[in-house]
Amino acid sequence: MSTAAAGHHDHDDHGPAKGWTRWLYTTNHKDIGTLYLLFSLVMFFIGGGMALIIRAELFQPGLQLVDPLFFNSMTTMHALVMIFGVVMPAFVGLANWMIPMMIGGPDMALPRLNNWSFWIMPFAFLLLLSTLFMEGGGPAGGWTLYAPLSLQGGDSFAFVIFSIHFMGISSVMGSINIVATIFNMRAPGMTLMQMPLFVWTWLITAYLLIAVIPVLAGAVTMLLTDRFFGTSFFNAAGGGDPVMYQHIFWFFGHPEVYILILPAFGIISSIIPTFARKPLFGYASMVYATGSIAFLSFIVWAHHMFTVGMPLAGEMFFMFATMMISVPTGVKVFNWIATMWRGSMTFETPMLFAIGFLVMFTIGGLSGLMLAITPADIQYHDTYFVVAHFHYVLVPGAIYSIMAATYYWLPKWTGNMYDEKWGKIHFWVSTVFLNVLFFPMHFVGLAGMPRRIPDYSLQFADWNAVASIGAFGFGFSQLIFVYVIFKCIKGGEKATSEVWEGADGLEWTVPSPAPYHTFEKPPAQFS
Amino acid sequence: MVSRQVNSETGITQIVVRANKSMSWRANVILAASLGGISALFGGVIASFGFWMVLPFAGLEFLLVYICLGKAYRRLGYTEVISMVGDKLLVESGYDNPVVTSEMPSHWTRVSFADPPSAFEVGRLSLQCSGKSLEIGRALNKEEKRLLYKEMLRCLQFDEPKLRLIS
Repeated sequence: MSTAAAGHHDHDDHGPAKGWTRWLYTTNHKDIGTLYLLFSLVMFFIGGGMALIIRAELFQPGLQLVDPLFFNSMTTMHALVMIFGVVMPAFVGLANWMIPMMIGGPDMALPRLNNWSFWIMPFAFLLLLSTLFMEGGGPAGGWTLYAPLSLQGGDSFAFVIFSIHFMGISSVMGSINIVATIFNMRAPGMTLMQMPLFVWTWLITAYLLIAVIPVLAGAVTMLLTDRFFGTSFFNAAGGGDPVMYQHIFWFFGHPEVYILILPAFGIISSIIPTFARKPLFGYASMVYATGSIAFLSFIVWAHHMFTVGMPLAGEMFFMFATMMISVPTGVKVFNWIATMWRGSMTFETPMLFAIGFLVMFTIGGLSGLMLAITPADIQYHDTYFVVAHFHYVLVPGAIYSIMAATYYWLPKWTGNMYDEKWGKIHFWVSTVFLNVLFFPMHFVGLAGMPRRIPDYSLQFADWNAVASIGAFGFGFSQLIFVYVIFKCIKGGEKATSEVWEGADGLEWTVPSPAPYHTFEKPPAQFS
Repeated sequence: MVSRQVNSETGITQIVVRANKSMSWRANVILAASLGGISALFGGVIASFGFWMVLPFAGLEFLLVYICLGKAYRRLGYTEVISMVGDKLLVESGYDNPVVTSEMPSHWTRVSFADPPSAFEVGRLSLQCSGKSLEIGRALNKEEKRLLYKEMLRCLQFDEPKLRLIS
């Protein structure tokens, strides 16, 4: 046998590189998924620490721990860190780990781009967090960066804008990679309507991200030029329109809300059928409902701005369009319940978190419906009722789904079963404290307590103290989560390939832990 | 994907083995255009109010989408062409052009396929000659490897026809 031009080598047997370069140069989807998840966990504690500073200050009326500017920096940074540094990277990490295995692909379509997408993130957040130590402090005008308020901060504002650009670049690159992977690398015979729901929800999320990130990039760049280069896009004195910033921002911001929750729907749609031991009820309707939610997310942005003022027809349109979102969301909730109905259910930790998601996300959804009603929203706007609403959507929604996913797929990642007893303790302690933390916010909000203030009227003292106790309880209970994860990584009962009795999908056909390379050759005809 | 074709210039019958691609290039272009169209629409409407800075970002993003989809598609274009030229078996592989070319005498070449019992292992199909082994069809799934194996058996055992139609 003669070989005319050598250059091809066998990829079958190579494993990860040794040492820290493995993590710096890796193009392996599992390594990058792990990096995203660890980054998200670290940021969860940084963002959580900021939340505890906020709640410590609000434990009783009066100013006791921090000055008001720093308090406002904490509310702003807490939101930016939790949205862009925790929830989004965690979902991207889960996508990296699971999507190639779920569709039978060997890796992401663009592995080097994947490496860049991740390594931009720590740099972006170092830049953002460094602003806290700069003259004038970090951003303090809220995560929405409303002009003209945000333009009145210190010179660190430029760093904030650059860090948002980096986060956007990372998100766009990650999204393009996910779209390219899902469309081009599915197993032979796997049609779009045979993909797992997690893959579907991420595909739609990636579409949303690609559609709206340029809008955010443009908006914050105009803020930058208004602040430093003398333009007047949002400066009324120079002929600009500050209200237009709000329109542009929320045109990005509302789809962003769904970017934070659609992958969670996919995770829950994977977990509930496994532990109910029944196929997902209404798969096709779930796909169409996800698409409908994504479409509606583009035409409801002004419900964040009812108090800014708009024509009556506009108020009516945005109110009814917002209410329409409850229809596809209701389809999903009823489908999950129908999946559980008469199933052989067991309540392992992932299922507990999934059910917790279902119940508490619905509470958040119902308070969202209340906020959609224009005349009611004018009363609730900028009160703690809004804070209660979006925390019920994001914490038991997005964060619980990430925790559920971690417990669900951890045995596949590590090859070891996690400690079920401590997992369940984590769920129950978190759930109790979460409700102690956020439920009283409905009461103080309806009673008129405004958000983003370090001091408040005496009448709100009791429920604020309760909420602060809940915050510290919830915060410290997350140490159990860390303990369970690291205990599982270190060892434990060996997991089988299938891990869960009712699990279904290509990812459960590979050994546990999943080999460094999976599906280098496509699996057999999918049917 | 395994297909048989006749080289119009030489008349030599070839087996062409391609990696799995779940979407055509045309569909990729439609996908990029749909994403670019949505971004252009949003950017255009916002620009019409005087806030034009969204447009350059939308344009840059469209370029990135197009380039990335093109790159991803090309990466999946790994192709092997197996030809019987006289008494030699020629195996060429690469992306746009043949990068690796292996040549072996057909009378001394054997084909082997380790068919694994597991549904999710694809097995190894290889050509063996003079103590050396060359894996072929590495991008195929098990069914396609079985087809290629049968075809290679026919090809190596009989003088005529050299390569038969794969059903």
